Amino acid sequence: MELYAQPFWAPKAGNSEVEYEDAFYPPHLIETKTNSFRIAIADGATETSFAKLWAQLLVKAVGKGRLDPMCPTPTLAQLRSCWQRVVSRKSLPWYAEEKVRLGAFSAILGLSLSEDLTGRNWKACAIGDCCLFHVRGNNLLRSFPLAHSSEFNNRPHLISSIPECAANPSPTFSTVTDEWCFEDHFFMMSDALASWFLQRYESGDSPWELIQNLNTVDGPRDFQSWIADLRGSMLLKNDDVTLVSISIAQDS
Amino acid sequence: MPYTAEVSRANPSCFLFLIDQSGSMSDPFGAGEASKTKAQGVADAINKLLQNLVIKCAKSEGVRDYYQVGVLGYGAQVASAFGGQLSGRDLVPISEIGASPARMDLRTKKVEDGAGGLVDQPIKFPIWFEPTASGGTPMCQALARAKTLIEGWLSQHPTCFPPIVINITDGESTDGDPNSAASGLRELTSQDGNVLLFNVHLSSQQATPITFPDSDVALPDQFAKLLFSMSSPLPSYMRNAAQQEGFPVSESTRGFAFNADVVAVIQFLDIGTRPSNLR
Repeated sequence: MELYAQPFWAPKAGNSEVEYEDAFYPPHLIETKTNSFRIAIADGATETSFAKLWAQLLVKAVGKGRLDPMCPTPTLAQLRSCWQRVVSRKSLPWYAEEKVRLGAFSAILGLSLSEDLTGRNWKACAIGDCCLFHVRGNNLLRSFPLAHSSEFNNRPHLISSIPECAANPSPTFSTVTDEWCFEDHFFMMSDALASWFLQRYESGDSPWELIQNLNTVDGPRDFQSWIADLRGSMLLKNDDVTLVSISIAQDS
Repeated sequence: MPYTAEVSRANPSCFLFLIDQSGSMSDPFGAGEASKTKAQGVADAINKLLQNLVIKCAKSEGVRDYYQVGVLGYGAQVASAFGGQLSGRDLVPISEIGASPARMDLRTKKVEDGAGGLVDQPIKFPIWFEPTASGGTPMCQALARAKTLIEGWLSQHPTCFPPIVINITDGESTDGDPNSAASGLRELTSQDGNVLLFNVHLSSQQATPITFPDSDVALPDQFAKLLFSMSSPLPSYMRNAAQQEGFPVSESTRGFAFNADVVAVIQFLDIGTRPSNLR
């Protein structure tokens, strides 16, 4: 398959780019011929500290296939140790020490696409409210893990960076598998844009058309101004925004 | 829709605590906490709340100024109740509060040891506010001073999430009926809604605690009923938060707690300081 995956991102209005706390992996545009491909996005929780680091660790583990959603505990233990090691390197003021004790939290969404003798399959795993949309032609085939805009709230399930204990039990990933066809599109979004996408879809629109138009040389710049317009029109919650737009074509 | 403004560094909000420091605050604190005075209980609660607010606003790079916070004491005088470097200050950015506790206590906290048991973990507990109890209860003066401070805040932050004023008292105003001063405070508005005035009544009576009532029927005395009548109804986002904490609520529910113990006071304050739109 010929795969094209372009990431877009924008920090909250009023925040600088270094304060963006979502993450995605691979961290750049991909245009490749391949038989299998993995990609992940994560949304670090604003109220926690060192959330960006935690989101980055999670997307890298999922994007490289090192985290098994059916048995996440061993890999999560390694990621948590790594997070703890990094945040403990310097002496912290009292409030930062307490914040580290409380941990960082993040939503995570992973997608893997494959083409082999068994067929053309995709699998996705998620905790939280980052969403995947599978579009064929002018039809939305699947919305995962949330299916309706009313399901977004301020208390999504998130993965914590603190060790598992009674108060922080092992998280359970939602998973889904299905088949893909050439010319299909997949869109991975953090919650604010995913909520907008579903609202537009529920009101009878085809929001993927707008997003497909972003796959151009000027895409990232167009994306920033498009997001600013949506926020200005109060159609989009002011949150970090991440989108990965994926299209698949037959090998040329 | 009111109470939906984003709380950000560019558009911060504010909290103002009014703390009764009259002589009667040296009485024991409600049922089951006879060893602790009301003044000590309130000091613990305010210090815990300030700590929670600083932690809430802390990010990897430091404390973000989402809020300014004031603590106004009323007893022998009506004045800022901050201690240490912040002494005499009215509304203080939360980053400065985080950087300037008057002192640090070292306390212990039970945490899971990962093997099914609990171990003591040392925790730094910052102190900004010490217990005080002397003089009368000049609640009208305190509410008037609060109104002046909040008016000044609103003139500089007209689009902010409405300021929240929390009055903690054992009841009887000694400088007149505080109703009209309370009403004047509640009538102040930002473009996002009216100022919210909540009251916590600490009684020495051995009566059952009441938190977030929607009528004054069950309240045992005239001071509790007066404070209930002075309290703002909870906006819908706070009603939802209260409901999630297990409090039964209705549209008439007010931001009032009677005879609440220290833990309940902190829980009340936590709910009141958990906007869902922090950015």
